[in-house]
Amino acid sequence: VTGLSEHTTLNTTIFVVVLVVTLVLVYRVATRNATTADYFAARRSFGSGANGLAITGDYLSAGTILGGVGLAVLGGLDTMVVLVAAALTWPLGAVLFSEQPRNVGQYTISDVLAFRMRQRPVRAATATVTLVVSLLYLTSQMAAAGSMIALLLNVSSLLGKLVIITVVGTVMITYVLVGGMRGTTYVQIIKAALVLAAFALITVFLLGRFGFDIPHLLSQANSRTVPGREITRPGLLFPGTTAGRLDLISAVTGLVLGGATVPHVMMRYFTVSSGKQARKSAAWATLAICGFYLTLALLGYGALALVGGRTIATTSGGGNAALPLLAFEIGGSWLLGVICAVAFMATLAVVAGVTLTVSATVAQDVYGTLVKRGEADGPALIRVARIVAVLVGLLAIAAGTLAVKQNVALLVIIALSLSASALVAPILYTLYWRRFTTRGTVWAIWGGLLAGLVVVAFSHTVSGAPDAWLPQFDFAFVPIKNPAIIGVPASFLLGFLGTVLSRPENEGRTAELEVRALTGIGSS
Amino acid sequence: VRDDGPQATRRLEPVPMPFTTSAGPDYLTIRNSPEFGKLRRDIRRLQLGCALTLLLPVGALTYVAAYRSGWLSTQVAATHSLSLIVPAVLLAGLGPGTIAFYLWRYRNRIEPQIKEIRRRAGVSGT
Repeated sequence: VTGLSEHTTLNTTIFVVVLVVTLVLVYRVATRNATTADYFAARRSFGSGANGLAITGDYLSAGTILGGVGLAVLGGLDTMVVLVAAALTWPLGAVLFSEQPRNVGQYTISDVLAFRMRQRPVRAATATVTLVVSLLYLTSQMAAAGSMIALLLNVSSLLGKLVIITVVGTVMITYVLVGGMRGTTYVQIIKAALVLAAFALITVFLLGRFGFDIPHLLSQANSRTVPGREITRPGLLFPGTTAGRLDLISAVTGLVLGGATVPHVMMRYFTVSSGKQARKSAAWATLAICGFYLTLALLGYGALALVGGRTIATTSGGGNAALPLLAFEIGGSWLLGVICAVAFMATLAVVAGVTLTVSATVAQDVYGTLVKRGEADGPALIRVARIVAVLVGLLAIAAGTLAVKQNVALLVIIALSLSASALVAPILYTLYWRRFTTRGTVWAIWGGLLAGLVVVAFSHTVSGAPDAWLPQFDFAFVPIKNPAIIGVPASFLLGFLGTVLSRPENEGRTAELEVRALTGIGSS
Repeated sequence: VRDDGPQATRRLEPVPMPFTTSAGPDYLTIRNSPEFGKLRRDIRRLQLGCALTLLLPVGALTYVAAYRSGWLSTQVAATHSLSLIVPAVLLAGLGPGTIAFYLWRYRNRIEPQIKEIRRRAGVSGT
């Protein structure tokens, strides 16, 4: 295998087929006379299995699918730690962040945090976090779309990548405008089923090549690694310095706490009929995601054993090409085609889900609460959400083109870390601490977000390094890149201080929240 | 002491008060009831136990990977070192195992309590 360039026609055909099929699907399932419950929460009509698959689809982006296998090939021991953290955020989310928020909220995470607080300050803070996290996440996915689809379609010019990003952005806007939550959820379900089936298929074929002898596969993988990048070597992603070690701990903190609380994933819990269904859907997602990450590591080692570390490292796309190369090695053009379809679908589905979250948040919290003071009607909210979806799509296209050369995996971890920094403490305090007040909520959200942003702004992610966003400047003084290790404690501390420095609030509403959260009484 | 038999015992059992008012569920009464207190305690214990079951091994793995990575190089078999086995066990066993226990415990211990409280509040199902 010398590269993927000779399969451009096949890959382009698959890309077009995926676009047409998903657009037709979204059009068919879309409800014409949509209410807010239809547009933002699909009328809470999904079952736990379907929603579990949709959550899986939301979480497994193209960056995770292609980049994850690449990390297993080139990232050594650190990769295994990152994979474990990324997977185990789901059982934790099922336990702490699924049923109770579903019982309290209606469409977005703001509904949960503002339930027993003063609406305007809390919704303003939560909307800001949702926008920052979602736009960062969206930027990373658009950049990934440009790079990965360009790799699979053999597009090397910058202009070609920009055209791809524009096409992806346009399709994403169409999904959200036409399909709303129902349409994007169906796309996620199909995508997740496709991803899981493809991974299971390749894993079976891979193990069959080695007579289902995993030790033999591992010994082959060990013998074909790039020298210095052995699969058990530590420090390949996070160097063995004090800062590198702290960065590893911070990244794991961000992944474990941020993965299950990222706004576009939490919004999925509002599409099921009850808290019990939310709990079960998180459990289905846990099974699917843990299985996915297990096979992902195996496929990485399979790629090493069959393709070889040197070939992968020198191919255009590097680690991202490991999975397509492995698929081609195992099953020829048709299996490569399956992987391409999975990657295209993954990219389109994730960006659509994030865009819907941003549009719902702006419509509900910014327009509905801050501008109209709760007096906006349903059609107006949907109209605003659709306008915002278009604007966000255009913004994402622009940001994606600017970030096309950035490290996508790093952007994703930073987005999850910011989510953990700003949202975990207020959600836990809201659900578990009766005394928690509006001031505590606002301090926790703003404090966590700002602490996280300051860490990122003054780290080598932004300046002072050749691969930084602004390589020509150097104002970096924070030695770590992932903000969760600073942001999460800051948010907990500020939430505590804000609460003890303010008076207790609204006892009746606190009791209602507690009863709703634990029993579902009063929730719709 | 007069022994009136099982009939007397039944007469003395307090009838549970409904958790509703004319305006709907009485949240303060529900929250302050001993039944809700027990439910709250049971859910908190279950959540804390499951969360720690997940977080402690992940924390330990992260610490070892950061500061004692040599331990993970320990060979268990010819091609298996702890660096491969421990993450595989966590992914295949800990995550699904914890969630299976959580669901089982919730269905058997928590849901009956929720059902009873909802019944008294005039709401059906769990």
